[in-house]
Amino acid sequence: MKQYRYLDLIGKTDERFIKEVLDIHDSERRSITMSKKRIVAVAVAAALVLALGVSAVAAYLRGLNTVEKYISDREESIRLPESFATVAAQDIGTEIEPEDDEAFNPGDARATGVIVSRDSFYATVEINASDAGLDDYDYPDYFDGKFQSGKFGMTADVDGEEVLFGYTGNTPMVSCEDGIMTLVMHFSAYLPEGVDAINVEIGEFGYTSYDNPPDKEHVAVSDKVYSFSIPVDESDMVVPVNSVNEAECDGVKFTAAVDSLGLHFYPQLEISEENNETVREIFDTNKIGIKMKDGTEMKGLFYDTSVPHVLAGGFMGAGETYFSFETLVDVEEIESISLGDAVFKFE
Amino acid sequence: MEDAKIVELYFARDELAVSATREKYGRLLYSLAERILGEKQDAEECLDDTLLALWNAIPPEKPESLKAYSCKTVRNLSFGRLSRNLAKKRAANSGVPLDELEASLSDGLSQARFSDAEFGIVLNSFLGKLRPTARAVFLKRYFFFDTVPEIARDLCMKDERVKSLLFRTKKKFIGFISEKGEDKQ
Repeated sequence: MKQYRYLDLIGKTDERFIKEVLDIHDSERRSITMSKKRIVAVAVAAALVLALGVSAVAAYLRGLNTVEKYISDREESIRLPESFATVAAQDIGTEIEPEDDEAFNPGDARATGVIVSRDSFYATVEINASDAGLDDYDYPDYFDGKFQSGKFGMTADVDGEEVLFGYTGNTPMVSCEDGIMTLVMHFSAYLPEGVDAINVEIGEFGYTSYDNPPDKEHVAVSDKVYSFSIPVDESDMVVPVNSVNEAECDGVKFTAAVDSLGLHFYPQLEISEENNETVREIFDTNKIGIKMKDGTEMKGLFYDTSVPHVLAGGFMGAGETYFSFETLVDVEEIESISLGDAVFKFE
Repeated sequence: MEDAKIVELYFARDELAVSATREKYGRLLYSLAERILGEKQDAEECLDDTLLALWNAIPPEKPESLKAYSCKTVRNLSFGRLSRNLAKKRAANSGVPLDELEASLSDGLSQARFSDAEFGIVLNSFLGKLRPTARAVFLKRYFFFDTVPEIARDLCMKDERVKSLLFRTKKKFIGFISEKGEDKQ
């Protein structure tokens, strides 16, 4: 076979396609259009960045208003089991193969795994932030080592064309070792039909400063911004099936919905005047816990990433009738969940 | 000079057509030839061969885009020359990683048994299904041998997005070809 056979055969490309590519060089209009898209994407993202984490997810849930509405929206009937239902772990999630053999250099970022449904996605991300100078900074005592991004934006690729889409969620950092930062992205997002990648820009890592109370501000330790794409294969999209369970503990109604993606667990506690103090006590003293099969325990689920395989995010939902929190866990590995003194075995 | 005017000169068998083509597209054509052949002298000779080929082909050919037609001609001639050079065991000093690009294409394509003509039909069928940006990235890399940074600059994208899009488009291409190969059997 002739050497470079396939490269040679690319020469059979129809002239109209070649002309199209050549015309790109001659045209400035396209670059302006693409830049505008990016500017709009950043503006939209900036608005969402401000709402990332606590308030963004709370806003999402605020629309649900009541537990009953939440249940009806999910079209699930409430079961009243003695313990939480079993959630069979599914072989879900796609490991992302490296796109080339290049080394993972400073400034590079990549997604290593993704789980995606039509209205949400999770991805694990690595960033080689050894170029960001994160070690050379005098951090305040209250800094817990978990960097937050000050710049964030996403667009979708649909057959190579960049499109905007709505999203809300957050990107908690799991670890930062030797300059390699590991993050999890979890977003509610309606991905456009035909999506084949999600393009992400993230950076200006730093921390939230409380030096001027009551104001909080993001202090960027680095101005580096990292870009990467998360490939999406629509044939791999999972269709979440939720199981919903209700229980009661110390006068607090407790509804837990476990997403069959296997990673979502969000108990919701309905707060009333009568149980307000009880709930507040639970909330304040972190009497919510998850015990994993390997013996590790997580108490107080608000951004506690001390347990390596359990990724936590916390939020106050609605603020009026209930609060809830969301935890990204490997459901297979949960042994029990505790709420105050009540312990529920997870089978 | 407008392309239409230059083509008229070819049809009128006026040799000004050749010099007009060289003046307008010589640098582009030379650049593409040099990327493939890696040698300035080879590239210069290939450019001369291209201009002669155009003179011989037009008429009866009447290209809609002289620029695109010329690029296709110089590319095909360059690969012909490259093939002869390799047969004479002359090393290819191409600045483009041809081996790597060929390997990345052939990995996955080798199972599909197509004649050269059939491959061309399938290739263009695939390219026709792509959106313009994906098509541009694919052709800029595999037809024109632009580097990733060059593609990113021309299309106002980040390098990472170009790489990602290239990877996905290439995967789709391999899948498409394989599917067509199965249909053929």
